[in-house]
Amino acid sequence: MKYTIMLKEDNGHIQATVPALPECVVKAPTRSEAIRTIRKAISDIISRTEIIQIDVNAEPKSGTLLHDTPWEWCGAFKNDPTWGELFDDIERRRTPYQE
Amino acid sequence: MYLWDSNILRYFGEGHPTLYRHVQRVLWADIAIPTVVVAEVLRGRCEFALKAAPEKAALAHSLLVETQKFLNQFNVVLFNDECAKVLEELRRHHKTHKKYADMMITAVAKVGKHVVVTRNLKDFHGLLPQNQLANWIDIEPT
Repeated sequence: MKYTIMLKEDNGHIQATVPALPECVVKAPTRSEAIRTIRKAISDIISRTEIIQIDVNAEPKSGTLLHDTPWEWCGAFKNDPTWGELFDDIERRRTPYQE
Repeated sequence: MYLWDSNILRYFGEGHPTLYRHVQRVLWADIAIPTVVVAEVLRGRCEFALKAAPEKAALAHSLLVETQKFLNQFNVVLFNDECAKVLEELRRHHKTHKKYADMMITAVAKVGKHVVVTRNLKDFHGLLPQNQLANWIDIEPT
């Protein structure tokens, strides 16, 4: 399974985080060490994790707003070469109304 | 509310530093994307997933799911019947001079009195007054 990793320079170290696993954070002196360590950390978490789906008999209140800024998603697609292409294509496809 | 155009969503995904500083200064509850932008982004990702060559298909499908999760982080403003009436007026006035998606976003902004945040200010000139337009990419927050 593939996971998106965010690598950020932090006081001379590289901090690696996984947007899909907010509790998974590692810091290492080099980029390659950070990637190696986070791979192991993800593997450790996943090996101890059971993923299930449950039905909850409740609906969110209508008009409820999301309040917490999802900083973990800011820059989440920085290394995805298709991200820019996706939005370039959106711009190209914005055209006047055609009957 | 600050209504983000698709190009601002792009820069959030890329972690643009100026946009980051703007977002730091407002409440997330005051930021939203219109359903027009949701539709554009999902259309692109869905087409990529459905047309991808075998060697790219797994990546394309994984990106579709990641993008859905990304969009779920945002408040979404629905294009409703009231917006449709405003859009009809806009279409009559601007005929073929303005892009249809821009007019849809404008209609949502007019109905909800939102500020459209976009890097393409010129596309919205003549559609919205200056105080309903903002560029969070080229202009630093004050």
